[in-house]
Amino acid sequence: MKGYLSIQHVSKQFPGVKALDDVSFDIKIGEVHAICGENGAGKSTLMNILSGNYQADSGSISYDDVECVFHNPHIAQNFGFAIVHQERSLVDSLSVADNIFVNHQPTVAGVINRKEMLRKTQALLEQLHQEDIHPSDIVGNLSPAKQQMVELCKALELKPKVLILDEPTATVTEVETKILFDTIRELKEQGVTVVYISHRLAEIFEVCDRVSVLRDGKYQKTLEIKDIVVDDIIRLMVGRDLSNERFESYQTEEEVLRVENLCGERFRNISFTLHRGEVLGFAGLAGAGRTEVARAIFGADRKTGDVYVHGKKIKATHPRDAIRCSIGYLPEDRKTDGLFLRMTVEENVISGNLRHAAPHHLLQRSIITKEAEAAKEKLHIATPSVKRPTEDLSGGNQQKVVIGKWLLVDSEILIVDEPTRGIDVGAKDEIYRLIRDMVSSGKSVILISSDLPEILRMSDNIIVMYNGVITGKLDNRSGEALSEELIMKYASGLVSENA
Amino acid sequence: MEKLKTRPGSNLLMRSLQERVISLAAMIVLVIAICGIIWPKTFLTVPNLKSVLLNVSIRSIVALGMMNLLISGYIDLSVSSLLALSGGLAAVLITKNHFAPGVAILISLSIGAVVGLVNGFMVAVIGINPMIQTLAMQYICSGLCLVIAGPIVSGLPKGFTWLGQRVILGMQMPIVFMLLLVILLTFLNEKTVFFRRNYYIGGNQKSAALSGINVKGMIMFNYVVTGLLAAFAGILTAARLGTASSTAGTSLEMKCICACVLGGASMQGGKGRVLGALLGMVFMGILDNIIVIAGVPVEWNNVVTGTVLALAVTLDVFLQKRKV
Repeated sequence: MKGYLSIQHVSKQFPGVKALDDVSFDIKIGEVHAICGENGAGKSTLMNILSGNYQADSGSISYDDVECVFHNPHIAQNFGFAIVHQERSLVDSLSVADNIFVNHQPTVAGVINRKEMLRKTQALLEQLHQEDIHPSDIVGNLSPAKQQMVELCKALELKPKVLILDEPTATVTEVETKILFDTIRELKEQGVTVVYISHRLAEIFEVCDRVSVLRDGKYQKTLEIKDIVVDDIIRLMVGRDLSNERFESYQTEEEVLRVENLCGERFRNISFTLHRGEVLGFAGLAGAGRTEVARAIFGADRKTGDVYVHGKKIKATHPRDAIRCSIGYLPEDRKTDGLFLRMTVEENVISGNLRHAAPHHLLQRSIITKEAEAAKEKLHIATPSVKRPTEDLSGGNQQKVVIGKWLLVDSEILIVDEPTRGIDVGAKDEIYRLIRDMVSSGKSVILISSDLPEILRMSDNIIVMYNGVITGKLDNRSGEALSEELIMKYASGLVSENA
Repeated sequence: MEKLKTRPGSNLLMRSLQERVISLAAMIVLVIAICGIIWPKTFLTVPNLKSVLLNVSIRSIVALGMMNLLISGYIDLSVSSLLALSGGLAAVLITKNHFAPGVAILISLSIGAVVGLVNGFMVAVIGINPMIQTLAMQYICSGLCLVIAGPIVSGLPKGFTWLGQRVILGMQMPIVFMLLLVILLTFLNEKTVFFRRNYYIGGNQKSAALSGINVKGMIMFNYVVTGLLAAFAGILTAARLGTASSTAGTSLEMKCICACVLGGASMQGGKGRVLGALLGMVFMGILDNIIVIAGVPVEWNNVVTGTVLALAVTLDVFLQKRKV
């Protein structure tokens, strides 16, 4: 179709799963078009096809009536399709400029023109208001948020006709998000088509014109953003309405964990108390220091200050000390810190508590399998066998494996760090239910999350952090719900109750 | 809603192809059968097969330690010269300083443990790259061997050489030691919580630490075990030959890595079984033996070994692809 980036009858089969099933829709050239769907809905597969990384089994793609056949990413780039992948594509040991001009450095007579390369990089960085990044900075030394901006520069440098952004805000702070949105609007004015994928539906309403929804590899519908509300998208994504009600509070007055004046490299003066049966939410922006506090309590990082469990001071200098004091920690990045991806589900489930499978000091395979089967049953882990490698599972199921591991450790205090990041809406619900089950049986949970509705829905009390300090402590048990706006004020340092 | 990638070929054949210990054992049986038909009088005889086993027995002991390290995702290049050092040291202590063989052996083993501890400390605590640290240690040990013992020490007494030469139940001592160590380490690796942790460390070191595993301690322990086994192999080598040579064990570290990878270890860690190290060594030993029996110039040994290793890992890549 003239004036459209048109996707027609695209199908893609992977062994055992139809990732895309006869998907057809049109993206208007020059619009910002969102693509929504749960994990495994086929968004990433479609983006990989658009960027030449995968080839469709059948169907076609055309841009303004020109057929696009991309046998590899290089052809797609030359045609004007650039993508910022969800996974990082930067080389840590190289400079910003080297990363941006990875395969097409400006040359003079076949020799790389370094000066020109640095100058062009500088211009790109200025365009994105990243004056504090220098073109010759080493990428590995930049924060994740800044690295994401370099990724964006790398895509912009290709002067794309179509820019695909796959979860571009997952690792950035509010400041970068705003710059990103401004950039998207500028690109739109220049006639660039932007395809935008995000789990954060609020962002879609801020910056997109239209949205197309995929479910289980099938195309559902395309909607005009101005005509709809968030729930319309969710309904199309999951095929049903999700309950949004708050859970009953199980909090008691019994203190299980008390933290006094905890200070570390990226936080200071952290004091709070956790009670039996309580879910204590930690809200704040990325980089506010919440994960660092959790790691310090868990003994993974150095710290000063005191931690008491049941009124007794503990000294945790290694995670195993904290585990002995009945503290568990589900890390933020389950792939790099929580799982043994190449190992089987059962080996992962037992990994926190090998002794449990060795009643007489000798490991018994049958106990390992039995415990893993029990976890699979209880947590509804979707895997044909517990002897499968964990990397074969979807994100939500991988997270359930990590939860299963810590359920088996049976810690009284569990710190869960971003438990639903990158997980689809249905699996989220199940994880919420599991957390509520834990506190109803007398355990206590610290929930770190950047997802405000999640914090509001799950927590008995909320602690808000900004820039390494606690700016607010809020009681969420009263009937009237706290507003997201109020938490955002504390989280962005606009107000603070603790001097 | 939640989708799973299914893996075809979970049938018995695919499973045993993916379990290297089984496929390699089958391969060894197959090679022995075929060569037994071709050379029934020279290859398929008890003395010949026993000599193969004797040839690989001491190397296999070193490979056991290497396997343990590879499972946890680490490597030790210093085993070869540590073997020469420990043999040379024991020989000098006995012949020049007139130590009792038992005392000399204990001192040699301690040196092996110390070398392992230094390697482990530098790698796990200080954070030196394992290749570089153990390469440096390889130079240090081979230098020390020449300083302490010189190129060759001969004239070792019977009180020492019986360790390598006596025959029990029709088997030479090195074979007995090798079998005992294989059984012991297999048991420890498969059945004890302590050794099982190595698989988690090799699988994902960060996750392992956050699961409460003392990663640094385990790594140091593994290097000490490897050092002890290499030192013991050095003592056995000297005892078997009645002579300690500074060139004993040359390029043994590469043979060990080769055997472990053939036996199912991965350079990324988290994979492998003790028995695999032994089977890998045995397979390589049989190939060497066949070349001699077939009358091919021995210079071809390394060509064949290299080719087999490359084929084995290529097969692995294809099996991995089948999984997706």
